[in-house]
Amino acid sequence: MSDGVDLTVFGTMTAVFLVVTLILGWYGYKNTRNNEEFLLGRNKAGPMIIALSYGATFLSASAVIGFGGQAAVHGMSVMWLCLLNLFVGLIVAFLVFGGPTRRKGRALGASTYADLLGKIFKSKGIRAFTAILIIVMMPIYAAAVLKGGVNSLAVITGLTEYYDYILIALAVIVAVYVVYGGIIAVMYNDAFQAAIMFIGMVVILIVTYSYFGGVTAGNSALDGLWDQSIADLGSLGVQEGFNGWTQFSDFGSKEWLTVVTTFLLGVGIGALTQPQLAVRFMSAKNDRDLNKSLIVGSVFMLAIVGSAYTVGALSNVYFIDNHGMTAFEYISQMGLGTDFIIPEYILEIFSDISFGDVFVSLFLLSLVCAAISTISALLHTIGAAGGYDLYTLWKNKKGHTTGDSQSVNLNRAFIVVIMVLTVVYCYLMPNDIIAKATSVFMGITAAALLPAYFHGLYSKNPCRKAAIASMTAGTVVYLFFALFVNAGTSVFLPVCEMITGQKVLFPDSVLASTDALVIALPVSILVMVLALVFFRHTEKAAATETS
Amino acid sequence: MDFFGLTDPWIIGGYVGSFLCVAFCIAYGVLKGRGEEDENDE
Repeated sequence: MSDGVDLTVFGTMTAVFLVVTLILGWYGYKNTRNNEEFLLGRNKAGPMIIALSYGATFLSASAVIGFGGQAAVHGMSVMWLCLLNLFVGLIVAFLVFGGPTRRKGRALGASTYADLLGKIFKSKGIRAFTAILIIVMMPIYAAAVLKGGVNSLAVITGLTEYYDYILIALAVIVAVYVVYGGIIAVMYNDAFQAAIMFIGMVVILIVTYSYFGGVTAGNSALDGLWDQSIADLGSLGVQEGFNGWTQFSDFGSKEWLTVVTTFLLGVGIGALTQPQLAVRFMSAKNDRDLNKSLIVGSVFMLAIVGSAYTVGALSNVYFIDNHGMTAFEYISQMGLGTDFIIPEYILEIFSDISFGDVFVSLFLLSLVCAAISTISALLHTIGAAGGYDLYTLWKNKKGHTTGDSQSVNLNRAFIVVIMVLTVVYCYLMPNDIIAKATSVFMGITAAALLPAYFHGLYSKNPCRKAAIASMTAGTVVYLFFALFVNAGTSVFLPVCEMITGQKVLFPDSVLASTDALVIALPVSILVMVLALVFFRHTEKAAATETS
Repeated sequence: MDFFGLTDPWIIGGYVGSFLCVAFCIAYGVLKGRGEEDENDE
């Protein structure tokens, strides 16, 4: 990649960043006196911390470089993901799910997402299923985020020979403050990291539009590119139906299905059932604080994703002007994936301006922040699912006790084990996978948990059997479509290829471009509704018979 | 229709919708976030 990173500047900024991170980790450690404070930190964070922590956890490096790179390929239609992030991930999440989650969590004494669902439905099975889903699926997402962050950092700084050291160093730093400081350290560090991300992304947006001579000039230049392009869609990384970077693709085309079902719906809707985000609701002191946090949260989210997607699309103008190739063509001939489009663009555009080194270093630090703010939250959530939820269930089954586990150290030990596992995953996963891994994790949690979660929050008499039916249907259908039908997600575990000899069952069908969530979530909702009707009817009939 | 150099209504809708969401969040947060700080629970 282009030279342009001053390692002295970046090293100095990183050193200051690390000192602040460890101080906040220490603050968390000093304020964690019991397991509930380690898991939830109830009442320990105000609206500003909740908003920034929610935003930084929600938006990982995936949002910046993963989907920013996708915006460079698929164009400004990805801005609808920004709209969905704001509408579904923030407005619907806070107004529909936030308050009830906080109130139910407090009333039931729940400390984790799995604990909350288990207590709502009075079901150890649901608690165990949710905890296992978290433990199995979340490390893949965590590994994708970690790998993406380290990949970018190593390639941009030119320190690729130190890839292993950077990966392990980043993992150790996150593990140290999560293990010792618990959720308080996680949330305060998230807020600090969010502030860095905010400054970094706003600067990049301003510099980009300044380079093109203003907003209208930049957008018009991108609009005019399509006519000049070679109409070989394959070389542009897009599919049939693509109409340029400032036009939405043809309705129902392969390009439309990929953008709408995988990027927009998969990630947009999946945000509602993120266990690591639900914990932020449960940490709030009252509903008023949740409402207040919408102010900062929305501005933060728009600045980060809006900037990343807009800059991603506009980078095509820069690459055409300077290299005669689109962003995808340019990065492909370098042998790199779409995750490197934004970093390469930043390196090049800042190389000719004053204080360019500082801005490039700030961007790199933003990437590190985006990655570790998400990884720390995921790590904490997985640790709680194993060290708290599963251990509690195991202990209760053995008859040692009937209450929840109070062991902070067990959570800490589990977090360390998961961090090691996540690092191992990084070496096993294919490259260029961040956006897809994010989509898979969010998709399966939404398909499995969303209908049951909603029903549990709003029903006065939640139906356990209906919840189990919906969770089972959502999980099975999602896994089947993800592994056997969707061409993008079947790469994770090539079961279909091993059994049938072909990558997916219907390679030429539109289903191969359709995200599994689009099928699995409606099935999960339908099963929930039908099961509710059936079991309520059965209960009524039984009650009539008894009376 | 030209909106800051953009012509596709769907793309314009993505941007306008995003800004409207932020405006709604700010208004909602200001209106519903008023009151005493020390109220712990309903």
